[in-house]
Amino acid sequence: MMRSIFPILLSALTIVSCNPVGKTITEETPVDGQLVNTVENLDLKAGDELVIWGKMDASFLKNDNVPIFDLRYNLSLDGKTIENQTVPMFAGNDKIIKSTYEIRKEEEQEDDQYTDERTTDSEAPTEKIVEPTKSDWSFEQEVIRIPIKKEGKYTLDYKANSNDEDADSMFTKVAVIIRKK
Amino acid sequence: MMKKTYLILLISLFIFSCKDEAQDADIENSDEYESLVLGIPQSQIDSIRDSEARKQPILKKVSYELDSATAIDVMLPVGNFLKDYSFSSKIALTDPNSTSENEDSEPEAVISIQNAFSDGDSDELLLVGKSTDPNIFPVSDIKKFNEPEKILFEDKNALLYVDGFGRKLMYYRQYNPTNSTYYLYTAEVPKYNDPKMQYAALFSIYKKAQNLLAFGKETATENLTWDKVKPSLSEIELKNYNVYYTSLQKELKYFLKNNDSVNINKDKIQFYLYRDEDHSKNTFDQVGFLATSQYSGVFGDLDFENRMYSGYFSQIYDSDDEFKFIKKISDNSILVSVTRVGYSSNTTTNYIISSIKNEKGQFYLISPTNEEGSSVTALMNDYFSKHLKI
Repeated sequence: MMRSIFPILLSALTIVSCNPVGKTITEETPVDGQLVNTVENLDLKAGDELVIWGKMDASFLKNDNVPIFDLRYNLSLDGKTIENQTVPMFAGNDKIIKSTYEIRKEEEQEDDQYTDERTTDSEAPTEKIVEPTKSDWSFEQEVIRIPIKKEGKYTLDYKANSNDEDADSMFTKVAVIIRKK
Repeated sequence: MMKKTYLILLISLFIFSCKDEAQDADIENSDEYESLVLGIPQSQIDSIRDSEARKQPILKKVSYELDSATAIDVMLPVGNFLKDYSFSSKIALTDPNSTSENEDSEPEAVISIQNAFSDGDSDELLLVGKSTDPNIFPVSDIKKFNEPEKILFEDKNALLYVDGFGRKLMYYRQYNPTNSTYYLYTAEVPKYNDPKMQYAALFSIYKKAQNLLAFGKETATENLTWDKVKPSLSEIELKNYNVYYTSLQKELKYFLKNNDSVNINKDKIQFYLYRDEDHSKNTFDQVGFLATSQYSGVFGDLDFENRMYSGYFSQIYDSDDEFKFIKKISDNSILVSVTRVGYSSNTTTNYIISSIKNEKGQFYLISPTNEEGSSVTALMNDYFSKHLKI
């Protein structure tokens, strides 16, 4: 009895340890709001789920406000569109993984370590004004799951951009990861 | 006992299951080391070299003013241009450890050679200077003062090599005895992820250097078409251009609706593609209309419903700036000029406007171009408007 359980447990564990969120199809691809990204030859079977993930890597966030992006995508099979939608990216707080979060220390105490990274504002710092909390936050968040009904080699075209001016900041890095479950 | 074995197995599997294959740390023989330096097998490098060497470059003469009294001419492939640059080359021409400064051997000018995809200003440089010594800055010196790890090609005037950091570099020297001028072309290939692309770029630059003074090989620009230019471009240039046109193609096919637009605005290349809802409904084509009416006036006086000004040109111009039809490039494309009226002087820029019709409606593609509308971008835009690919 014991003997037969172990191999199962063993194989189950090895699979699970690698695959908490499904198989990664494309590694993180930095978002360029001006260009459409294309992933070709996506081998998908009926019952699979194609999962689009957004990755946020932001420094100096004000009050933890992450810029929201619009992700437009078109999934096609043999040149025919299966699904064409626009969905928000980083809009809520659910389905977040690999989150690391750190509050930036107040400026007064940080002369040595942090000032170099700050933009060199010419404005003189006014002492008593309460600065918004600044934080560094990096995480991955599920954007959308697309259930696959028919086996085939799919093409996914997508484009992500944001109207938020913080989205253009050099301190905000956004990427897309495609996974399959 | 069995349990223990399983446990160990389990733990070890846990540890190794997600790791990449262990890398071979030992590099024993030099063959392996060499292939490590090269990145890809020598045979692949050879075939990339041959394929780039076969391409027939389309050259145009470009002048550069060294100072108010002297200018130099060089031949560059279409899509390339010269830009001021004031720092020195990454390839050392003289002994970097030597303290004695030899003023005579300093090049008079360092010029950056660029194309639409040049990353920095220093990737490709042309160093020009006067000397009575036709053998100045010989290849043997370059080998001595730099550290080539693996030499790919070498002759009396050229050196192509990979250095210890895996960087691909080129040195190419030319001397013109009639004006006692030397031309040194130095290049470091940008770090594309794919080593094949790096070699394609390197051999393409080598070809560029070989043709630098080939004044007899100029191609007349008025007869240029994309069909003629395409086979002359290097693998890497084509690939880079394709990134933009594939994206535009997908925008047309899947993403642009109603009056949507996309603005691709990179350092040295710009595209504005939009769909015109009104023109789609009324099957109106402003490209044909402007060609027929030969419009010349200010933006504000354009007498037909359009999104040309409100969409694209208003980002750059005022409504009382001058907009003028110059010529028809094809049935799909026209060349226009826009003049910004300034306080002291006016500045005129030329644009190509192409009409694209598909089952989704009426689209227009706008890009800046040269006075003749013969820039590589213009050739590609016109071709794209007909074939939806390049």
